[in-house]
Amino acid sequence: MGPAYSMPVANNYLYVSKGLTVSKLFVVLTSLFVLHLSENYIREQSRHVLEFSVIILLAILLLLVLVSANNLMLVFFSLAGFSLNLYILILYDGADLASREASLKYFYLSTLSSGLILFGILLMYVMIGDVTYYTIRFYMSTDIDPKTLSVLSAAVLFILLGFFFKLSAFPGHLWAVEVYDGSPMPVMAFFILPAKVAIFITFLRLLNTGLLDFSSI
Amino acid sequence: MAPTGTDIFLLFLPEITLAVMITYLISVIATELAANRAPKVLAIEC
Repeated sequence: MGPAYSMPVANNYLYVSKGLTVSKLFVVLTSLFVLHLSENYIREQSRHVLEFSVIILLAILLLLVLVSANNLMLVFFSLAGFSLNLYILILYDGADLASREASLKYFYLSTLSSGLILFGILLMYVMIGDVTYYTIRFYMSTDIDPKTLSVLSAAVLFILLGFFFKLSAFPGHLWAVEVYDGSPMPVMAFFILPAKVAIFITFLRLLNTGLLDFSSI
Repeated sequence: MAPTGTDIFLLFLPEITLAVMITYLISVIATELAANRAPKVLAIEC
């Protein structure tokens, strides 16, 4: 690739850069590899043969939006949309009791974490007035008065907690194991590799906006 | 220096890969429909 072009696109909602392209390419290639591996599983399930591929491809699209997102609301929408796809994928074999249990547990876990992230975004929007990464980075580099700082700290806490749940880190790791246990194998592979990588990259980009960098502290 | 067509192609390579996969899937769906559904419909009509 020639010179690195890093620029916001789509009215500042998305961001493209060389590093993000490599990350997205990794997500797409691993997802397609998982799709290829799941061929036997799909053939065993005589019903809903094509839906599996369609839902996985839709989930990949939402992961790409998630990685490129330059706005917290877009991050939330793509995370929520991606989770909707995963509920269906985990419950793909509806006759299996373990699958049903895993799907319900993931539904609770995912809804809780989405709610936490949304509440954090709401607090941040109330304080800053915009949830674009660029605005957050600019705001965090200025002097913030103590009252605003306390609300922003709460917002950051909620967003981080929500992302920890999404990453199956500390508070969510107990449920995550049970969800993996009940999921079909290809779905679990998709859940562990491309999805977690995309969420982790989003998490790193979010931290890079200066979320933890209060100049007043 | 303004980005060239190759640069833009490489920047959006993941999205292009996904678009190709979706097109391939649509072609597979069309093939399956042509192979399986058409005879059933004909059988019902007969």
